[in-house]
Amino acid sequence: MVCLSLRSALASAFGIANRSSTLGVAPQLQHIIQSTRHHRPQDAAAATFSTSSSTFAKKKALIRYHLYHPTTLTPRPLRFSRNRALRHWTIHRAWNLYRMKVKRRRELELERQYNAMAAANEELRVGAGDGGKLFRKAQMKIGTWSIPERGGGVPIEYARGQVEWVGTVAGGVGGPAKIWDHEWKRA
Amino acid sequence: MAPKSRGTALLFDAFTTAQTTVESPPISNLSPNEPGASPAPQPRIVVKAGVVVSRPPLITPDPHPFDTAFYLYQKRLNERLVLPFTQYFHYKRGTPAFEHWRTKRRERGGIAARDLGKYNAYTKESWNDEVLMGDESAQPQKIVEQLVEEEGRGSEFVGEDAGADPKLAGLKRATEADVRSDETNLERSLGRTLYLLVRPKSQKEGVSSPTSWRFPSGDVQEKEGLKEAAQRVLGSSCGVNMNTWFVASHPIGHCVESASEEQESKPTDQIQSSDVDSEKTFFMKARIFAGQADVKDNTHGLEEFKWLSKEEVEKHVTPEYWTSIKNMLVEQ
Repeated sequence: MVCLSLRSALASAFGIANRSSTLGVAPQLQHIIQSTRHHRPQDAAAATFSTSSSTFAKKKALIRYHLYHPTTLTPRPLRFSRNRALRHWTIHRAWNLYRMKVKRRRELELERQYNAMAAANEELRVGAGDGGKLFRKAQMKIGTWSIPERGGGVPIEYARGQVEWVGTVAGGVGGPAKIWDHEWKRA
Repeated sequence: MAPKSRGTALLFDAFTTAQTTVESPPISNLSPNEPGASPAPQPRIVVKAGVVVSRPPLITPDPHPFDTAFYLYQKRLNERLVLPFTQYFHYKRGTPAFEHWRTKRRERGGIAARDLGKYNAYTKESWNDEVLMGDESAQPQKIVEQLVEEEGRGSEFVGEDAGADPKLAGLKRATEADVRSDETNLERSLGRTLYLLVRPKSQKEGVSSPTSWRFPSGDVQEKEGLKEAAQRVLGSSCGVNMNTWFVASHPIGHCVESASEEQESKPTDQIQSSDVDSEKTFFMKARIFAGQADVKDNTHGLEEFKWLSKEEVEKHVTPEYWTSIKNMLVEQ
């Protein structure tokens, strides 16, 4: 009975529709239930499926209030003069052309790399003079999809992201920043 | 019955003729070591494993001027279209943070964004959103300088370094190694992929061979794959104190050199050049994450090493070598 009453008290405190009454609720939880009832005028059984609490509803209202803008500011049409529209069109075309060239250059580079790799593997297969033994060994994918602890996969050091700037001072400890660890030693 | 007996007879005939008429076995069954067995001498090939150790770029590539100009253009167009910045949602009225924000916003000419330059999309002049020639408000360096100036703590992050700029809070894209153009340092050319190249000692004393730079390479031993050979060669030529990772076990490029042109540059104790027709080097791709190369105790007769980008590699190697390696190197 104690467990059931506690459960129902928590359920009503968090706004969950519950069939049982609040008769056996501990007295210290009564005021919580009363306060939540106050914010929720509907009956618990007829409540909507939403379980969001009243504080969250308040926050939502606050966000809506701040997102409201007077009609003098909305909508904001973008009007161009004739020459300005032509300039915009030119800039747009130039950008597309530029991006296309960058993309083409990258594609060609990848193609060159792929062709170099394919040529090397073909040479290894037929031209190494060992009947393709080295080629077969090189084509084995053992450990490619493994994890670094088992001696395969991609090491976590490869996840170093590129940044726009490097600093002069090391964060936290002070002293000069270490951009590259030249002093690394194999344990 | 008759067809079957004929078939066995034919088989037997074939067997007997094979037994009786064979004078010499086919050429493919002969071992090439037997002298005089094969009509033409087999080409003798030495397979070597090369290592292309590369340091990936650490900073983003330098933006093209068109990139920066176009991004500023689009940002200003966006400012003309979007709803205004909701300052009371982000700053509570009457707090020190709000006062700071409002002061700085006034100094910027009443605009919320810090990367638009002098442009307000809520005035009569809002149509004039295109910058003129020579305007610097799109430059990433200018934007960072404004941010640092607003914070007012730029000199705290300079440290002892005399070359660091307090206006940028010590942030930089070119390091000290770039200024010194120290080609053995890995903090150089942060936006580029750097490749490890080594130079063998010249055979004749006093004669420098400036164009004999190459990737570290060595012979493949018995029962060894190319990857294992490349790992061993890297350790024995440039030291073990490099945290490297071999991307694949198959080669990314190769280089074929005939023995005659190799005789000048190769040490004689490694290979007897006279009985080798061609030498094929297969390059394995590896990445370096930490550490530095060290040719002090190498067993390959190497003198020095350098970390070079693609254009610098072209200046250091021979034209024939460049032709065979250029396609496997990346631009950036």
